[in-house]
Amino acid sequence: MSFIKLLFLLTLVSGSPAAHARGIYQEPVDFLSDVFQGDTPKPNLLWLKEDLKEHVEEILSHRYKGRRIRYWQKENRVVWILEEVGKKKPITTGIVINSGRLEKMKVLIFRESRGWEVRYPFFTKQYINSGLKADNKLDKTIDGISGATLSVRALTKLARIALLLSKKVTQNVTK
Amino acid sequence: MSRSKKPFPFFLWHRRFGLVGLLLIVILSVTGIMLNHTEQFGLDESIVESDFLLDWYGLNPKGKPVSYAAGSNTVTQWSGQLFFNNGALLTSKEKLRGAIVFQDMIVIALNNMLILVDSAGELIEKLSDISGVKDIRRIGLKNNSVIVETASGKMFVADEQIISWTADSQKNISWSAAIELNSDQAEKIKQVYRGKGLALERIVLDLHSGRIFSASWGAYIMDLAAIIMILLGISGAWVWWTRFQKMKSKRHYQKHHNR
Repeated sequence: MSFIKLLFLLTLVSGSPAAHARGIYQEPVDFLSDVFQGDTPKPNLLWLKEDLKEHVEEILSHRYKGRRIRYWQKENRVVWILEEVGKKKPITTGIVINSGRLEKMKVLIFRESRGWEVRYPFFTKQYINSGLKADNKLDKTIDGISGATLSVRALTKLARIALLLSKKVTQNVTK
Repeated sequence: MSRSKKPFPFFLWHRRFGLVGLLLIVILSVTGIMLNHTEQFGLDESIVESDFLLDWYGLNPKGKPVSYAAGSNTVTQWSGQLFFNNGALLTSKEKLRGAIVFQDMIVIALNNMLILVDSAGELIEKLSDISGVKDIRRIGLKNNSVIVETASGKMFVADEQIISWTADSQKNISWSAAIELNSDQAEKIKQVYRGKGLALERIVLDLHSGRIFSASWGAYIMDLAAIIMILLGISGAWVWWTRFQKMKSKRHYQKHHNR
């Protein structure tokens, strides 16, 4: 009986979610191909001028390293592949913005040992159809996950940045 | 009549514990006293210069630096750390393959990554997902465009924004070539690599905890020293008690039989 208990425990440990938490869930290239149904447009560059960089850094609550970000656009859809550190390592996320609203969000690469629950659709679907308020905050409430607070915070920041940058990109096009 | 067993020789064990634990207990005690008076000893202000200790802590870069000149700037990789002139840029396990000046930027090539920085060394963009371009071996300029050669010998030339790449053939390319750093430059980079350096307090702390021997099992050595001290106390007390009892019975015997 005790052997069966031990075997059960070992099975649980070897198959524990933390053991499979880290990894590449989808290559950014494949994400883009999925979004644009195999017809990925050429990327564009958005230069972060002082005011825009300030807003980005305000959302991130730390300095942003880099002065330009690439994005992929087709009609009203703008796709961003962004990274933000959860606790120690960056979480690579693909975000699709359609006409100023978040259409799709997917964690592509997760490198942390904790907080991996944010990759599940039950969590990311909360962001769908969210927009940006005047203070650059989301107009939807996102429920957190206990034990994954920093990952949730990182994804929310990325959603806000993607919406902000998309606003800038579409403004540039309409001007 | 059976012979009574020889009592357990606690004094022998007391001696053995003392001999085994002597060095560790001396380290533990001396470092403990030093840590109690960190400020008086100036441990936090003393920076260790010993190459042996800096190597032990991994604060000396390993191997030789690899450098490329990009205009008047130098890009160096040493022990996985990238440097732009004398400033740290970023850490990467990928090998540095070259650096060139392109427009008003410096393009740094690693195996599977391009890093764009301005002339002050500020990061512009990190391109870690270069479509189709894998395992870069060298980078150069061809007709004022960025060109890279991969391990398979294929050439790819970038558009003027370094967004897309097209296959190309080798003609009139000015490749980025490695340069030797002079000793002054190497020393400056070494200082940057070491950062604030190694404070004596760190070494004393790690000696006290045992972690100087190994980050994973070093602490167990000092745990052993602590256990030996406890055993020394117990065995010492036992030896005293048995001797006290013997002396007591001896005095009793002498009192009643020497009359």
